[in-house]
Amino acid sequence: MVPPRSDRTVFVTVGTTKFDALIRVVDQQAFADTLVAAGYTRLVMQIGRADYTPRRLLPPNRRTARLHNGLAVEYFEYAPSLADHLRAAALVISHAGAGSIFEALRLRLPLVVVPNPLLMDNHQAELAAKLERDGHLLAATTDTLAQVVAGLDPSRLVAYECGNPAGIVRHIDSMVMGVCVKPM
Amino acid sequence: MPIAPFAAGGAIALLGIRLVLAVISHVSYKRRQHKRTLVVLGSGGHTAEMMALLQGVDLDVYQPRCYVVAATDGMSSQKAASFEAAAAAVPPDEEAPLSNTNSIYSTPRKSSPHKSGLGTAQSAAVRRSPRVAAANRSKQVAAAAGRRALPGTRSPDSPAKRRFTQRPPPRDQPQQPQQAQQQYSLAVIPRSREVGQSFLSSVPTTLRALLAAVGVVLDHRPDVVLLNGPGTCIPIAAAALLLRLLGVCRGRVVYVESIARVYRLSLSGKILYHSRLAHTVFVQWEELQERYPRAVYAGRLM
Repeated sequence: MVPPRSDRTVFVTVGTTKFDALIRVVDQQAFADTLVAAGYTRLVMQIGRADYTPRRLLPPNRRTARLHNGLAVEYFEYAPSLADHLRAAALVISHAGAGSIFEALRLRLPLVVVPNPLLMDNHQAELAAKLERDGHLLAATTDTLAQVVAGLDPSRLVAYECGNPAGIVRHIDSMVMGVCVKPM
Repeated sequence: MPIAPFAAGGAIALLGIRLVLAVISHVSYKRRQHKRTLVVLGSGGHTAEMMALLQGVDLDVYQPRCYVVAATDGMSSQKAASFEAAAAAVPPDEEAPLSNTNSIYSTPRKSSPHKSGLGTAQSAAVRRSPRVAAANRSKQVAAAAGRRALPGTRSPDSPAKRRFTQRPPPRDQPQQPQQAQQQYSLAVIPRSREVGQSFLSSVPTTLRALLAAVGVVLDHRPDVVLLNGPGTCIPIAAAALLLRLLGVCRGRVVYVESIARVYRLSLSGKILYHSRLAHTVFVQWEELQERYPRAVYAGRLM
C-alpha cells in the first residue's frame, strides 16, 4: 500500500487533439476505484476538443466533484500552459503526441501513454512503443489502461535523458562555415 | 540566315553570366561573418522542435533570421516572436551556451553590426500576405516583439507577398536598447495544400506557394535554410534549389525530421531525402538512420 500523502494527482491530457475514447475510459467508477486502490487522491482531466464531457464521475454541469471513495475529480478543456498541472501530478496519462510525452518525461513523471487508434497514419504509436521498449514509459490501449495503471511501478521506469541540439548544431556549423572559419 | 551560331553565342553568354554570378555569390559568402538564415516553421510540435534547435544555435552568427510560416498558422509566428524576444533579453554572450561550449568551431565574435549602425533604422518592415488575418497577426507579432526586421528593404518581388513599413513606436514608450538588437523578420506564404483539398485544385495553390517561396528565398538570399515540419517546407526547398541552379543563392538546405518518427520518414522527409532537395536530412533516432543511410543522426532535440 502506498503511504498516504497529502495529494497524489493523476493528470490525464489529450493536448489539442480529440480523443473521446480516452476520456470515456477514464470517466468510469471502476477506473476511479483503481486509482484509489493505487493510492491516488485526485484525478484531473484535460479533455481538449472532446465531444464527450465526463458525466459518469461528475454530476451534469459540474466540473469538480468528490467521489464516495474519496477521489477528487475535475476536468477542463484547455489551459494556457499545462506545465503547472504536470508538475502537480504523481502520474500522467497522456495521448501519444510527442509534445506531451517529452514534456512529461522531462519532468521525470511516471507516464502512461495511450495512442489514439483512430489516427490514420499512426506513427505516434511508434514513438510510444519505442520509448516503452527503452523503459521510459508504459504504453496502453483504452482496454488495458486500468490494468497498466494498477500494475505501474514508477521505480522501474528509466529516466529519459533530455535531448541536446549541440550535435545537430555542430553538423550545421561545419556545413555552413565550411573549413573557412578558423578557430580563434 | 544561320541561327545556330547566334544560339550558341547566346548560350555561352548566359553561361558566362551564370559563372560570374556564382563567383560573386561565392566570394561574398566566404567573406561574411553572418549567415543569413531562413527558418521554415511547421506547426505545433514541429515548431517546438525548431525552437529547441535554435536554442543551440549561435544567434550572433545565424542572422539575420527570417521565419517563414504558412498563411493559416498563427501560433508559429507567435512562438517565433517570443523566442526572439527571449533571445534579445539575454546578453549576446550568454544566449547560446550550448554552441559556445560545444561547437568545434569557435566562431569569431565581432561586435554585432546591429549594436552600431543598424540600430538607427526606425522602421520595422514586416512581410505580409494579402490575407488580412495573417497581416493582423504579424502586426501583433511585430508590435509584441517591439523590434525591427531587416533594415534593407527591397521592392516587393512577388504578387503573393507584400511588405510595408510600420511606423516607429511612440517615443514615450520605454525603448530598451537591447531589445532592438537581434534582427528578424517574418514571411507568410500560402499553404500549398489544405487538409482535404483535392489533388486537382491543389495544382494552382501549389504553384502559388512555389511562387511565394521563390520570392521569399530571393528576398532573403539565405546561407542556410532550416526546415522541419510539413506545410511550407517543400516549396521553400524547391525554390532554394531553383535559385541555386541559377546561381543566385547558395543556401544549404537542412531538414530535421520530427522526433515522432522512429522507423519511417514523414512524407515531407521522404520527398526531401529522395529528391535530394535537402543537403542534409537529420533524423532523431538511430533506427531511422539505419533505414536511410544518407540521413544523419546527431542526437535528439527533445
